[in-house]
Amino acid sequence: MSDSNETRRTERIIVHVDPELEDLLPGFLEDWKEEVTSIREALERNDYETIRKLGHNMKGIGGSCGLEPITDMGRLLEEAAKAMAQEAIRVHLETLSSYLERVEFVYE
Amino acid sequence: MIGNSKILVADDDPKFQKLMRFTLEKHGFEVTVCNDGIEAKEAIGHNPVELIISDYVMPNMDGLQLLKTLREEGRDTPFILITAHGSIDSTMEAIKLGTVEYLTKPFDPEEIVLAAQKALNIGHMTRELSELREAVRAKYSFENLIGQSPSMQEACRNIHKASQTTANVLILGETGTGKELAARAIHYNGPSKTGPFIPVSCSAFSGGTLESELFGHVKGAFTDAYRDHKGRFELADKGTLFLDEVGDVPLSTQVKLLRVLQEKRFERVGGQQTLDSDFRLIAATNKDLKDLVRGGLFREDLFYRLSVINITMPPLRKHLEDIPSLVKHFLQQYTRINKKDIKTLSLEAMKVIQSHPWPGNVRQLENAVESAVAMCEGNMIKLADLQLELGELPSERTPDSKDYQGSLPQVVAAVERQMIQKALDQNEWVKARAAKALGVSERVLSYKIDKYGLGKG
Repeated sequence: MSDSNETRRTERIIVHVDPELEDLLPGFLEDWKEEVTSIREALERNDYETIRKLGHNMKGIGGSCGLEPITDMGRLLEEAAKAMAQEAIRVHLETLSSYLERVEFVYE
Repeated sequence: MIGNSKILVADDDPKFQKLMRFTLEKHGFEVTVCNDGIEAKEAIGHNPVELIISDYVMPNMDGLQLLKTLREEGRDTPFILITAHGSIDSTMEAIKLGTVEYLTKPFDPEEIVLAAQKALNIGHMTRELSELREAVRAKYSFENLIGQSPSMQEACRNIHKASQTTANVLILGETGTGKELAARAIHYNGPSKTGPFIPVSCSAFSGGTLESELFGHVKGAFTDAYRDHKGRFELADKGTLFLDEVGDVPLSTQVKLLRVLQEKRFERVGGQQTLDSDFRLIAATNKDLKDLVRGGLFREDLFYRLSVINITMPPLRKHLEDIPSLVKHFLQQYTRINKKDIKTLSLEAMKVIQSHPWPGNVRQLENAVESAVAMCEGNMIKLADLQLELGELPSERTPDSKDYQGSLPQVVAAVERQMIQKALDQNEWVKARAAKALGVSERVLSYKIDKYGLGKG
């Protein structure tokens, strides 16, 4: 059971995206990874406004790049930040972080 | 034109800015990005753009505040408001302020390209419409009412005064003296100038069709009423209704006119629903309305209702001194239209024009100049280019009793026949032009041609 979960956490996630986004997406991916760190730090100091704003922005742009999960996780983070739900933020952040580490783009 | 347009994108998310710039520039647009409403407002002040795409939620000044500020400053730049899902509370307000479109994040980048093209198209059409409106306004400005003679100056003063009010106006004057031009000048310089100007010639319709034309009708109101039809009163809402030849309105319709003038409410022919219309009324006639009132052919109460302000357009024979400036104006107008290079008229031609009686007034003079411009081969209109009958004609000399042999209807018919034949010959049997010169509708002219069995000579 534990092995199976481990496998799922390290599995690559292949996303087929518009080739025209090839110039933008690698940069965006690095930005989102940095934002995960920023959210983690904000959570340490109970800065929910920063978390809400970053979640809101992810919600707005993810789907536009063909990455619906970013939009979904952004929405969850924004809502959790509004509710000051620390535990929920931690869970969503881990899901987001895992997604960002595993996602791979295929431009076609 | 649309592909090179300048677009400003306002959004505080750097990634969104990058995505918008990338997508729009790829389609040939010139893109400027800003972080909030204040930056956007400053940027537009320095470098105007043709479209603004703005996020709703931004620090310092949000998208809605930016839109409000721009509209308050009189800028009508097309605006696309972008909202994140769940934050569309102010959408209605944005639409009221003239947002062309709003999109909800996240959206496919191609959606913003389509929305931008649509907004820019609307922007171009709005600008064109406003330029056309301006051109029409310029055409009917007071400066285009030509004449320095005391009678024309008085008419111009009254037209100006009438334009400053919303009162009903009655314009009197012979055929061709410029009654419609005066009505348009009142409209395009008055409080209803942004509304429509709806002219209707009452003499062109018989009793029943006139009512249907003025008030509209509902489907099935009469045999040919296949669908609902809006009347001129309805179309003139927020604008001006110009009732030309109001003296020809039958008594049965006059009662209905009186009611709509009093109440600004009416029903379509065959309809039950009462409709409102906020129109300004200008009426005109070449008949002596007071005389019609005395003869029981025109309602006195309607006459007083119409003639709150009276304006009389003088016949050309009463302001002959204006002929040179009128000729100059028409000469410039028709040389431009016909792409000719005619500078002036010979002294001889001008002398003939000045001594002509012009029973058809300024309209007849205009037609004569138009025709001369068409005939002229050099850069000066000569006597030979004028299509005026120089010999003595029954309509142009003082008639004596020997012209009047027979009963009154016979004499009237003979004169009418002669005038129509002459107008048709002078206008190469182009009925529209002949009708204009005679001051009658084309329909009336066709009827008379049949009646008198006229043919090309």
